[in-house]
Amino acid sequence: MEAAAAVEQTEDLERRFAAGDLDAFETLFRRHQAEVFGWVVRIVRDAALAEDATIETFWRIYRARASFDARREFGPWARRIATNVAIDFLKAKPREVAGLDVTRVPVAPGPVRDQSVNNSIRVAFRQLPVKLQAAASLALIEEESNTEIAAVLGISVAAVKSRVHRAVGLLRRNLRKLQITP
Amino acid sequence: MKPTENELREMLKEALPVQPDDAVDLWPRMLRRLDERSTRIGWADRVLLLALSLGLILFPSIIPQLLYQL
Repeated sequence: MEAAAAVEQTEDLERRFAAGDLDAFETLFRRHQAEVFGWVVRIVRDAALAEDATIETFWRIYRARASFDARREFGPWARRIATNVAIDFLKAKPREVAGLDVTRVPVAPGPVRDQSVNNSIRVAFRQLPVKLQAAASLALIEEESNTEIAAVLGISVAAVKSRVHRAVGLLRRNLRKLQITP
Repeated sequence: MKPTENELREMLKEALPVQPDDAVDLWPRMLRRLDERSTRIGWADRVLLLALSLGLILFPSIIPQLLYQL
């Protein structure tokens, strides 16, 4: 009974949001903010950029509220929008993403050699095309399933595999140029 | 020597760690963003305003008629 009431409450909330109710939007924002931030930061790998991307994601969600189908789940819809925003942010601000430029990366405590190697790995990664970065980040670092990645990127599982394969090949090439070995 | 896919994974995980979510409340920023957008004048409104201004400058005789309609 309680579960059914909760579902009904959520559906009502989403209907009110779709009708432009700001209070309903705030409730949805507070409910999903951490999830959206958590997803975006896994793609852009930078907390400050992820905060901006989270705001942009909810702005796009708010603008698209009239097209939201309350029979569908809000979370996956938000995640798809968040993925597009994250990719747009990587395209728009590639040099502001942490770790792109070796000379601009502050040296954190730890062995100097390790830090410089990590910086070079970040450079090699950021040299990948943005779409490959997104696929590689989710597949290689976050170990998300290909099905999940395909759903959020709006592409087929085969296309995900292809992007990850290309990303691995380019990464190996970039690392070899930077003389980085495991 | 080419790194294996698993070695690549480990290298990337170490070099690109995800910053933890420190539970910042982003709602105030979201509200500011919504306010900014709602007070901004759209391009269509600007075009209409420009057309009206031009109309009044080029045909001042319509001003009394407009005022009468008001």
